[in-house]
Amino acid sequence: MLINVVIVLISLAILIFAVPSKYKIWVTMAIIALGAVVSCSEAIKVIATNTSTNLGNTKSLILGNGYMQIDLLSAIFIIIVSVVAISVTIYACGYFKVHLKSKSKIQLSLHCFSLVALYLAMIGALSSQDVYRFLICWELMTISSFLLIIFDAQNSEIRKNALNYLVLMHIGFIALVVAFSTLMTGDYPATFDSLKIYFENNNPIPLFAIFLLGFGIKAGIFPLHIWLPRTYSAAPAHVSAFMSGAMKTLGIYGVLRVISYIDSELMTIGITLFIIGGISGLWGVLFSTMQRDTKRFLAYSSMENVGVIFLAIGVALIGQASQNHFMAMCAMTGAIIQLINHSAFKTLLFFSVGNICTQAKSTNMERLGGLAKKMPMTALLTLICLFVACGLPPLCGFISEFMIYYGLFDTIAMQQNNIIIAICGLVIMSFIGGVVILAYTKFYSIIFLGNAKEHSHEKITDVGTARIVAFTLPILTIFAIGFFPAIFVKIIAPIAATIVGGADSLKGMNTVLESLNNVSIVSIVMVAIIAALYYTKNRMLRSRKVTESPTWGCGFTAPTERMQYSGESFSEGLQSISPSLSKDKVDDDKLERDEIFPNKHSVRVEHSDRIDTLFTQWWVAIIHKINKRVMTIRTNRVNYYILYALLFFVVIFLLTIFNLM
Amino acid sequence: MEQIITTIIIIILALLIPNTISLTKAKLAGRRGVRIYQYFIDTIKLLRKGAVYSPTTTAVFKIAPSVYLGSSIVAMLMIPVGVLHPIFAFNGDVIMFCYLMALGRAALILAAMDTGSSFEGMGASREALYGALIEPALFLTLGTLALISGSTNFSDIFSLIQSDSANMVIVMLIIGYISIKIFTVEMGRIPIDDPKTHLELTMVHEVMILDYCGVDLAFINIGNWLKGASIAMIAANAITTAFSLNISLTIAFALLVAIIIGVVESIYARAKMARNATYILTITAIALLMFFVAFTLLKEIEL
Repeated sequence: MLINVVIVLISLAILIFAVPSKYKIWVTMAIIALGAVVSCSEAIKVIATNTSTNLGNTKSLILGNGYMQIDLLSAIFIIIVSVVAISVTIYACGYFKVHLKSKSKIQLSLHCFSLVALYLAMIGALSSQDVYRFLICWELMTISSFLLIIFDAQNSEIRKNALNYLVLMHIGFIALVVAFSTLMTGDYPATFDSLKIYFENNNPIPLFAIFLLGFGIKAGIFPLHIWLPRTYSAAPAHVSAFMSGAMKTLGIYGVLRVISYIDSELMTIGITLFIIGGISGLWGVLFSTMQRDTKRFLAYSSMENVGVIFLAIGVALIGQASQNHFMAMCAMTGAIIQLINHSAFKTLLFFSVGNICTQAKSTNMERLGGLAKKMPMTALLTLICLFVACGLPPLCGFISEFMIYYGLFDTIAMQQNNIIIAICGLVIMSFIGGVVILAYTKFYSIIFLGNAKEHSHEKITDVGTARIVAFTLPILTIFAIGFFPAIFVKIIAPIAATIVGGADSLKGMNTVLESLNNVSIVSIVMVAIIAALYYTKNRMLRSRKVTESPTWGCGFTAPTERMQYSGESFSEGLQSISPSLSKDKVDDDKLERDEIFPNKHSVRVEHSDRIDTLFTQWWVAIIHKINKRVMTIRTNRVNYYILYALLFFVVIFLLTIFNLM
Repeated sequence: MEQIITTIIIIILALLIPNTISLTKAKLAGRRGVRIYQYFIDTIKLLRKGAVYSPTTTAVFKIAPSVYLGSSIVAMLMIPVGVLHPIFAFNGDVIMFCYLMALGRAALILAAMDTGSSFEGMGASREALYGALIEPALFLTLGTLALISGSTNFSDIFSLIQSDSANMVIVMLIIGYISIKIFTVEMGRIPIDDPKTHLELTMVHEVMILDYCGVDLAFINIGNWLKGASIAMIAANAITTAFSLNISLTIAFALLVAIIIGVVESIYARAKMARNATYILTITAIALLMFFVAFTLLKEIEL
């Protein structure tokens, strides 16, 4: 069924090129919606019946032979990807209105077509059991997302970043090809299931390491994260949202899928993932506090989220290895819920950054400010995302953190044998959690609160309906998980059980469900109390004198909006104590001695990622030099190339004669 | 019934603690000090006032005090008094307690930034940083409690702990000590912050609420007291369990915490701003040490 629909949809997608510019995005939306309905209905069927569906064999020249299958793990990812895809296309509707005139017809067509292709490729990758088809879909994903990024290709910086993305993704792709061909050399059939047989007969660590490299680049774990800030800042907002909310999760999907086949050496793998996750989380959160560019901020924050997910997966595997099934289940369920949260709120945050970007024409936080009054809807929705990102009750961010912490605390309380890991996890996660609050309050307050820092921002209005409606589905998810966590944990626990623990460990989850019911009661009571307090206050103030007066200036009567607290100063405290992870550069022209009345001065502060700066060091220059020399043989003349071919044959001939080959 | 008594005790403590601190400071300085119900009267007075809002502020500024007070109330409802159970008790409520405190903090930080002031940002930035640094210490304390009691439920933790050996007494006393340190950081007392200071540049907590008045300020003050009472109660519970004492002494110990804070405030000067991070990290280090001490002790007892 699904495979036929996919083929129909691909052929329908060609329609995009035919219709007038105005309707292209509507056709795109129709195709994606159709695909989402079909694939989600299959996925929901799988989750409801708790059995994997076989979608039938296909013999096709392009898509390879083999069968498509949706199991519990891929079902949840299909739903995540579909929800994000629908939101993204709705958002793109609004976004296109701005660009309809400035872009050529073919650009728009290509962009819309790539949206469809990226969505279908992701669904294809998630539902294929066959390795070849998986790899084809994976590559299609990379290419279509590359085409999406270069929407504003006039800008050379964007082209450079997009190429950077393309190269790095192919390094990951090569790793995957190597991993799968290692599998093939053992005469195993080219399906995911044969990984199980391979891992039973061989040491899983080397192959897992290659897989981790391949999938980890997609997920953006430390130190493979350098493409994140570059790519997200280059791409249009909805593309960043699509990549961050949907495509990035596929990297985690890959890791989870491979892990689900591994039964031995789980301890080593678990500790590795735990450490990688911890470093990614800390690195991401510390760098996100330093960022000035909103999209770069979100990129590092995304890295932090993935770090926490990997940390939780690591904890789950360690629990599994040491027979602590309860911790394994809690951590794995927490990781999957965190994944859903991340897809929901990161998509939305990119949308709101997109709204800001088109309205205020800037992605630099320090130039923004006071947007809450100009764009109230965007501000409100971003505030909700802030609470999710910080993991604060009563929204869904808290639920995932609660699950992971619950597993760790329970291990400590029951004196299981992973206490040291549990306490390390506790310390790392609580520190990350604390700094995330700093990062996000900075992000929100510098952009939305206070006064506008530029006079040109006085006339900003909120965006059109489509770009607000796009927030609906993820926001609903956020509230639903936040207020009714027990229902979702009940759905997700069996999925976690397919990776760790097995079916028996599901019974142990009852205590968690009981706690989660209590959590939702407490959350509802808290919301009620807050609402009651706010109502009472307003009631009391109604009959009293409420006046307006400027913000307290400590006796200073002529403050300007430029005197507000800036983002750089907000995070200065943390930077001053964190070890120098970043390479800081401060450019300022110093005040001259004879300047009695200071002239205009400027200061520029840059924090660059040390991993990123690795690629601008001396050894890169040497490679460039060698490359330049070698490239002189590229003459663009056919006769030279024929000569090279001839030389090649001569060399081969000589080598054969002297028996050197 | 039992739950309601617990709540009433904590509310009374919330009213008494700030007074006790200031009385202690007054006595040590040779002053007569305020009346025991002075803070209460001041807050009632605030509740009767109108409001002044800056034109810069948005709804965030107006809702934040309610969020702060609301989260403090709910957090307070999770804290037991000795063996008396609180209203909300479930496995894992320790986690929710920490996050409720974080919620209140985030609300106040946003409110402070909402005023567009050049001072309040300083307080907000410091509060966010100190909050982030103290969080691991809080989790380590709760982790240690979970470790030695075998429960992740506040109301069970203090009734389950058997402090029958000298080692355990020491561990529980260190927990009490760390809790008092957490109190000083979270409540912005000396040496982290001086609530009586009059210079905006050096404040932490006080500078964040510079623009509040009337009902909003009253809400924040009440929220502060409840938050303080909750943390003081954890410390008092730990000390009481250390010596397996009567429940009525828990209340006395909570006041003792206030007196200790008062004495410290009288004899110490506040630390330099730049030293605060080191100070808080030291607390975290002690908390980590405490956890491992408790861990090795338990392992030995089992062996």
